[in-house]
Amino acid sequence: MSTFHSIVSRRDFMKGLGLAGAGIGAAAAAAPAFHDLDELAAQGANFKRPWWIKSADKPTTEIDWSILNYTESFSRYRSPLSSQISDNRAAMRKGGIEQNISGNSLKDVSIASAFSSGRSKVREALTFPGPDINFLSADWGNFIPPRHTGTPEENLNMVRAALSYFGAPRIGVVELNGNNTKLFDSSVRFESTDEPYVDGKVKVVPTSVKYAIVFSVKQNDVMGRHAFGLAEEGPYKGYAPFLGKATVYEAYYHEAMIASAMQLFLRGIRYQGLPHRAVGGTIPVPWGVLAGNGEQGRVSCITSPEYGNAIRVTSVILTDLPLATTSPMDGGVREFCKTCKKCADACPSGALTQEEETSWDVLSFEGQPFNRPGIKSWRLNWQKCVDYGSPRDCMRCQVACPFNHAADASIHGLVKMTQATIPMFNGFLANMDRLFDYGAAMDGEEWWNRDLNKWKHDELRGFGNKGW
Amino acid sequence: MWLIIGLIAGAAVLGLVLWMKGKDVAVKWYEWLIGALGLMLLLFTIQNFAGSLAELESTAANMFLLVSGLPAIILLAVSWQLVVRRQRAG
Repeated sequence: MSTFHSIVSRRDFMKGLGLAGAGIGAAAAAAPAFHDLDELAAQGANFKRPWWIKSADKPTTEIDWSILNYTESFSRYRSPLSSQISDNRAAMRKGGIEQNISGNSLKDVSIASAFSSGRSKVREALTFPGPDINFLSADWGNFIPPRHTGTPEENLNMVRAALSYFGAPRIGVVELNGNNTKLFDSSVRFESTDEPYVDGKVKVVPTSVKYAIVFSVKQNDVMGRHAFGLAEEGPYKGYAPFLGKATVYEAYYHEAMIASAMQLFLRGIRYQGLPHRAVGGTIPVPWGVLAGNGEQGRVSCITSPEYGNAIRVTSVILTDLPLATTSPMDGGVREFCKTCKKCADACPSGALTQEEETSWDVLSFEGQPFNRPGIKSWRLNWQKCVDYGSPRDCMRCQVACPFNHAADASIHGLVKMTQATIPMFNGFLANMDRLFDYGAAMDGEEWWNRDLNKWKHDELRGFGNKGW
Repeated sequence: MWLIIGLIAGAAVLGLVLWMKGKDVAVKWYEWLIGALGLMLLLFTIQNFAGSLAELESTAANMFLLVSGLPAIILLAVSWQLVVRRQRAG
């Protein structure tokens, strides 16, 4: 008989029910409020980075401000092979279209270029000195509102909230000083004046404009994987497909849209808003490093532990809105770059060095340096890169970065935590990234036939973060 | 999804505990530990397998089955066999 009856006592049964109920209650209570440590840390704050991304007093790139000076004349590398490169590019495009090669067919080239002229058009909306500060008065009649007021911390929160809405949730702020203003060349002058103005070929910025808001514009790293596989034969032999380049132009287009919206927002609250694309005379990567948007990786561009190399640009807007500043970051990225070298392995032209340590040395062509002196870094060999046809014909270094990965699989959070805190595992982790074949090339035709009911990797305006 | 997996895992563990109590099966602390590690590794494998597929990393997904899934199965099997063999011997 005992085989037909449970010998679980009533007491044990009720105890089990209670435990199960407590478990369900705990899971239900915890599930919507706490998905991971990041979210727990961020509760109650406008924005917080994961604990393992540390603030640093100085950037992880060593800078010698007595040497680094953009007012010094400097020439980029101009290839003597430029017409040959152009002819080669035209032949590739023609061949890819005529042979209907996946990733290089007419529809691929067209979609990849779709944002290119839009980028230029939207950039025209970025004006110096910016729109009339009373641009909203057409709706408001004679009412001229007073200037927005807030503490620097409140203003930083506000700017972050606005930029996140516009499309850039990762921002930093740098206060201009005698050193970092050297990042502007002689086409920009800071002067004690009330309003910005143009003096011949020079843009004059008031010294009251003391803050640089730096926002990161992310690239679609999944789309980038459609510009990774090197063709072994045919017109694109030795080159990657063009389709994935769509994310490059799209990101520049986004940058212009975000900068334009932010310029108008700042003018609306009655402050200066001067996008660097309108001011000119500077480049974005140093600002991103100084503001803590990321670190300078092996590629010489900005690399963040959140987006990897999939950052198209860290765009800058100068303002006189009082803002709390952000510090450079140390997320272990530069340390990881020493042993990883995945971007250098992916580089088809050998333009990225395999050296483990950084150097103050610069590279040159015919006696003319094509790297800026004044930083201790890995130097990109622009001669090899440009002679190959890059940056137009290649973006493999950006796609290869292990930090590009999305956050669906929990292993990435564990890996990032580990690399930031225990660098001795970096070599092992980089090798595991290779073993697991992360960031592998994707096929163009498959992209055109992706399941739009499930595909998460297109940008859907108005959908926010949750895809609702 | 994880709420459901948690419920299933919790119910399975509870069911197992109650069943073992009913059958008078004693489990040593180290057998619990090996079993718990195996279960955690199994859940880790499931999450990373599904997450890798969501990231369009199919090779990584399969690698997780091998690199963490197989050890999970082994640990669970070891825990199970330790209990079973001790029961037979005892």
